[in-house]
Amino acid sequence: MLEFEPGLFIWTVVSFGLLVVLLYRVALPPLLGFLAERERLIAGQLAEAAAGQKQAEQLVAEHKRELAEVHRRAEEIVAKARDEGRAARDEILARASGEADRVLARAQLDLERERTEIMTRARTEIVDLVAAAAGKVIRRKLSAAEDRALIERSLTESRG
Amino acid sequence: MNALEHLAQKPVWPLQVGGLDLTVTNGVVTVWLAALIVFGCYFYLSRRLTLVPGRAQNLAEAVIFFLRDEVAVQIGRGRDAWLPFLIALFSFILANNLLGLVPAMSSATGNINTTAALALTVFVVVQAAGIASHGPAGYFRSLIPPGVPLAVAIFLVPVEIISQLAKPFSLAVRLFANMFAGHAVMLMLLSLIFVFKSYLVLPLPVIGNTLVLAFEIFVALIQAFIFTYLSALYIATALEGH
Repeated sequence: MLEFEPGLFIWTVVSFGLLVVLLYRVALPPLLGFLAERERLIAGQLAEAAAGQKQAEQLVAEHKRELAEVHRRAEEIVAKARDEGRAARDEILARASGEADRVLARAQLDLERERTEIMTRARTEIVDLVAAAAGKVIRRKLSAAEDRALIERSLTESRG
Repeated sequence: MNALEHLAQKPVWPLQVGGLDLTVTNGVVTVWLAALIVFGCYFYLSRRLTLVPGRAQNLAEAVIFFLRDEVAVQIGRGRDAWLPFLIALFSFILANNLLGLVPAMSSATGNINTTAALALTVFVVVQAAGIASHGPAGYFRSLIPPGVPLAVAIFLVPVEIISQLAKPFSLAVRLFANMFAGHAVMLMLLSLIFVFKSYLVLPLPVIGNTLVLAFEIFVALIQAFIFTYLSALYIATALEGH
């Protein structure tokens, strides 16, 4: 074991040398090339996946931003519509109230005019009747009891 | 009878080339088998690669990524260029370590000649990498920390040379000692049967060897990693200099 054995020594050197040459030239280049290529492929796919994930995250963030913007705009539109609705309602109510006041005032005015007209007409008719009655009284020289009866008859006739 | 004699190399095919004894021993056969298994596994996998790996491809990928990210990473910029060498070194040592645990197989890494051959190969590679990176003069200068006075540098150069030589020595001895120790303990436990010549002691070697074998698998992995890790560290140091 410890003696120098040139056969084993030299055959080991030759065998190992030959093995190194054969592995360098024949066996390992395809194997190492394949592994390097696969590593490149995996690294490329990982990079692609990372880029895809980054893009997806960006899209999600953008989508969220857009969604928030849409929500904000929708709220703005709703608030604006609510304000406009309130304003329209107030305006309609104000207009209706004014119209009602105007109609009421006109009705009162008409009523007053009608009443005045009726009163005037009644007064005129009463005067005419009284005058007619007075004329009759004067022409026939009636007694007090007849005067009274005459006036009452005139009034009854005027009612009738 | 010495139980450790079982760990000695046994000649399979005596071979002399120009006066040099290149006898093929059972250890050499293990080394060849380990090299064949390692090459065969990687060759087989390299021709049957799938995007979704199966068990074998998963295991090979785990080994390769571990060596790249934990061991070769020390080398820095030239990591990928050195990765096949480190894969070969780790796989070859691991295969030899594990084959040594198979019954009837010789433990090549339990022999100092195998570990010394690997350590010497690493030493040559490290020096060649340093010289290729800095040039011969530049590499020699890089062994001395910058700003050291000449008087100190004269003493530092031999110290640095010894340090460089100690690295492969420590690599070889560490791997050999760890693997040899495991086999020695297993043999000692087995030899209890022959020493006591009784079945009563049988549970001790059986249970003991089972536990030691499990531990040896762990040691085989750890030692292959340490040898490769230190080799990568030496290469990185040689490429960067002091």
